[in-house]
Amino acid sequence: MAAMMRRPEPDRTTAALLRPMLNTSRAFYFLIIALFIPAGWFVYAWYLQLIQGLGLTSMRTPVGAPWGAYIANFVFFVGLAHGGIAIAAAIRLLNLTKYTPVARIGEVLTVISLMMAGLSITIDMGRPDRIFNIVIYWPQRVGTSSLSWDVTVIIIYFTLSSVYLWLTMRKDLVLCAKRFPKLSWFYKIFLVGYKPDEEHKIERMSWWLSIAIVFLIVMLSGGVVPWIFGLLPSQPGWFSALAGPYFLTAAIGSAIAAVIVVSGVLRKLFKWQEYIKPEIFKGLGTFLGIITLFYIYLILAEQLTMRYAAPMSEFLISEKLFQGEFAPIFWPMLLLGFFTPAIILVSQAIHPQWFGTTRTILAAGVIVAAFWVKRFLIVVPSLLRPLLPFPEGSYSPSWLEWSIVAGILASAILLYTLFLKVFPIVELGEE
Amino acid sequence: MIDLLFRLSDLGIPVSAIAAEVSDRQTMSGNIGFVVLAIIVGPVVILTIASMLEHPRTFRIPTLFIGSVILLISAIISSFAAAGMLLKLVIPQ
Repeated sequence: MAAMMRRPEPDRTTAALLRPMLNTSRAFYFLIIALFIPAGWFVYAWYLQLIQGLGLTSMRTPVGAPWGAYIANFVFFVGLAHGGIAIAAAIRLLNLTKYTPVARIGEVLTVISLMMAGLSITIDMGRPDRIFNIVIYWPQRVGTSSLSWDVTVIIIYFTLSSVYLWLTMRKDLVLCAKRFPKLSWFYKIFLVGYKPDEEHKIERMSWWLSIAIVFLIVMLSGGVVPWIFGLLPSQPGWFSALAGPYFLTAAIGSAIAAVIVVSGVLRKLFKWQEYIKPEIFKGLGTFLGIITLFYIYLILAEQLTMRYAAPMSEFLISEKLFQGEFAPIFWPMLLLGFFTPAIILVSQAIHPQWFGTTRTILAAGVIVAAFWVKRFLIVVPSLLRPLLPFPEGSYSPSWLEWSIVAGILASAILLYTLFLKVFPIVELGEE
Repeated sequence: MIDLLFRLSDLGIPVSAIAAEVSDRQTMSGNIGFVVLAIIVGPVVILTIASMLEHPRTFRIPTLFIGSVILLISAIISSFAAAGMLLKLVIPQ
């Protein structure tokens, strides 16, 4: 480790890629303060909810929606957690090396998104002080409770993703320990047991772990999360064998869109045009366009089934989206949030001269927002019209729920920004 | 279970044969979760073992890997306990 402490001048590429760690502008402090405000407000809002109860939210039972913005947020963040790690896995398995610069950008997004998903579900709990009961009663519940399956698989996915990120980052941490001697004690914690010859073993292990992670992605966003909804015959609009593929497509779509947005923002902020090349956005944008069109097809298949000859309860849920109280958000989501950006992205693939990086990033940003709205429209309308003969309810998130949802997003950006200051977000390669 | 729920809700809905049948099946399939988790976790465990046995056969990185997995899972479970205790101080009991 002593040899590691020599401090050679990093080459130009390394210096450019370490820019977020080397330079701290005034804008950085402004950003941190700007993020702390909603994050702090979120802590206050949650504190209010903890001492006064979920009655402060607009969630109601039995008339109304017992699940709302928090659960939509949970499903959204679990979906978002698939992009980076999926890209990293694809790079290894399919040898798509041109996407390497955005791999870690997405891997970090995965880990932080999973934390935010866990936070969202904890906030939705009526008595989060009993959270340890999940562990205590796990053996009794896991046989029948799809929520227990969720907790189990999310913990495994989070653990595997975090360890994968750590293992693949170790060689860059050696460079960081050399470059930042004052912080070398910190990097040494992550370099425990390091030997220079470990890279080949890590590369081979990562290849196998990539397969495990891809399998977990399918089983999480195409399995245990949709099964919370799809296995319940008591909820019209949820009970469907299509739930798995439907959620999986949404997860991959929103995650790839988020990776495009984050990569685009970092590329602009740190002048990484030379490293995160337009081809990356072109490839990811085309894939996103196709997957969004496929998602629109799944919406069509779902809605047609609900409207053709389905039980009346299914038809009424569909009516809520088509002409009812959710129509003002359903149609803009479908036409402006999914269809228009998807057509723009696919058109760029057909006519390469139409391609624009900024346009691709903007289209991806719109798709990310649309996918949040879609999760909301999956969770809420069904709950407002249960099969049991209760009166029909209504739901619109309260200021407290919006504060918490916004605060969770701000906390995610805050964590990401702090990671950028301490760890290299793009693979450094050899020095 | 469904039978009981209908009775508790006192909605005047007769418990149908279908509901009773569903109830029976649910009781019988009480261990379906173990099958689901075995299908999910099984391949992950096999692939993880494969990753550790892959050439070059050194035990240092696999040991670090297993150690960090155990450490992280323990940290998550401990954080559940810590969060629960902390929240008990905030939430009126």
